[in-house]
Amino acid sequence: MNRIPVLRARDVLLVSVQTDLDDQLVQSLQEDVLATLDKRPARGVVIDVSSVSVVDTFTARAIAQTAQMAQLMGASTVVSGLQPAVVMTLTEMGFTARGFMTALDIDGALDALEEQHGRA
Amino acid sequence: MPPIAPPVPAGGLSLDASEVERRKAFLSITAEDERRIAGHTEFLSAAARKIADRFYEHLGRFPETAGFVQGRVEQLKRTQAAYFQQLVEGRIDTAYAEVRAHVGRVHERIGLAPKWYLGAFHLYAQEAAGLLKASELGQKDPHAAWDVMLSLLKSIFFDVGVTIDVYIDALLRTTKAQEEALRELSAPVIEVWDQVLVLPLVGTMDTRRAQEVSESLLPAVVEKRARVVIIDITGLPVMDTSTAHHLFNAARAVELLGATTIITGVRPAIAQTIVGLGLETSALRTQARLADGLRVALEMTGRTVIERDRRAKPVSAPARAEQEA
Repeated sequence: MNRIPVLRARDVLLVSVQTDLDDQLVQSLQEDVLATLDKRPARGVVIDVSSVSVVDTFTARAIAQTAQMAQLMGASTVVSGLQPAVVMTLTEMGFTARGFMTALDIDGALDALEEQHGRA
Repeated sequence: MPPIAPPVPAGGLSLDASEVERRKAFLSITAEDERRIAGHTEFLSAAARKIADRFYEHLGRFPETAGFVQGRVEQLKRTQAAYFQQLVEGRIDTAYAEVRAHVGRVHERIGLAPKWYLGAFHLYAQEAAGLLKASELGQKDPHAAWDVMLSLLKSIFFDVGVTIDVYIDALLRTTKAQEEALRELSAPVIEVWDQVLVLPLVGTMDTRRAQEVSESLLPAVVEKRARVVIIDITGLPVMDTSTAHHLFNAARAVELLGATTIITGVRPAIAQTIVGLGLETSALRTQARLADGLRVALEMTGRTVIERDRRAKPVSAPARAEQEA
C-alpha cells in the first residue's frame, strides 16, 4: 500500500502530498503523523498539498481532524499550497480552516509556525 | 407545404420551416386562408398603392412618425407596396417570415417603437377592410368579403408576431452585450503593494458574479503570492443573504489559500443587515475605510506607514480618538 512519507526537519514534521488522496491514504497519513509525533514531539506539522487537485469533504475533514489531534499533542499544523480550484470547492461545501493555519507554500508555512512560536 | 429552408439567421430568434409552421398552426392559418387571400391578390394589390398613400399621409401627421418618413416618402411607398403585395399573395413560408423579420430589424434599428409599428399596421387592416367593404365582392357577397378579411387578419397577426419577437430579440441581445461588458469590469484584482491585493466590489453580487470574483481572485492570490487581500465593499449598494454568503465564502477561500482577508467599507445599513441576518462574523477582519485596511495590510506584511508631516494630513476619526485618549 502507498504511504506518504512524513519527514522531520529540526522540530517540524514535513508532509508533502504528491498524489490525490483517497480515504485509505489520508487515514494512514493521520496515523503516521501521530505516530511520528509520539516518538518525538515536534513544534509544528506542515502538510503541503500543492500537487493535490481534488479534495473531497472526507479528506478535508480528515486533515482538519489530524491537525486537531496534532494540536492536542503539542504541534501546530499548517496546510500549505491549497489550489484555488480546491479552495472554491471546499468553501462551497461550507468548509472552514478551523484548527489549522494555512499558507501559500512551504516557506509561508514555516514563517507562520515561526511567528506563532515567537508569540507563544 | 412551404419549401424546406435552412434556419433564418435572426440572432437568437430562429424562423426555420418548423417554427413557421408552428406559428401558422397557432394562428389557425390554413391552406384555405392562404387560398382565399391568393384569390383576391389582384384586387388587394391594386389597392396597395392607395393604401400606401393614405398610410404615409397618416404617418406624416404625427411628429413621432413623421420624422422617420420625412424626405423619403416615395422610396418608402415603393417598399411598403412591395411589403403589402407579399402580404396579400397568400404564401406564408420561411422566405415570407424572413422578410417580416428583416422589416422588424430595420424598425428596431432606426428606433421606431413598437407602438408606432403596431399603430401603423393597424392602419393597413383598416384600409384593407374599408376597400374590401366597398369592393364589388363586398357589395355582392359581404360574407365572403368578411372571410377574406379574417384570413388577411391572420397573416397580419403572423407579421406582428414575428416583428415583435425581433424587437424583443434585439433588446435581449443588447442586454446580454451590456451584461458581458459589465462583467469584464466587475472584478478587477489590484496589486496595490507587494503581497497586498485589493478587490473593490461594485454593484450587486449574484451567484454568477461571485463565482467570477472567486475565479479571478484566488489564482491572483497564488500568482502574486499575496498575504493580505482587502475586499472593499464601499460600492455595494445592498447586502442580502446571498451576497453576504458569497462575500464570506470569498473571505474563507482566501484564508484557506493561506492569505488573510480584510473587509473594508462596511456601511451602517450593511452592518445592520449582516447582524440582522444572524451571520457569524467573529472570523471576519474588518476595517472602516480602504485606507485603514491598507495600513493594517502593510503592517501585517512588515511595513510601517509614517506620515512625515502630521499637521498637513487629515487625521481619521479612530486615529483622532486614539490620540486624544
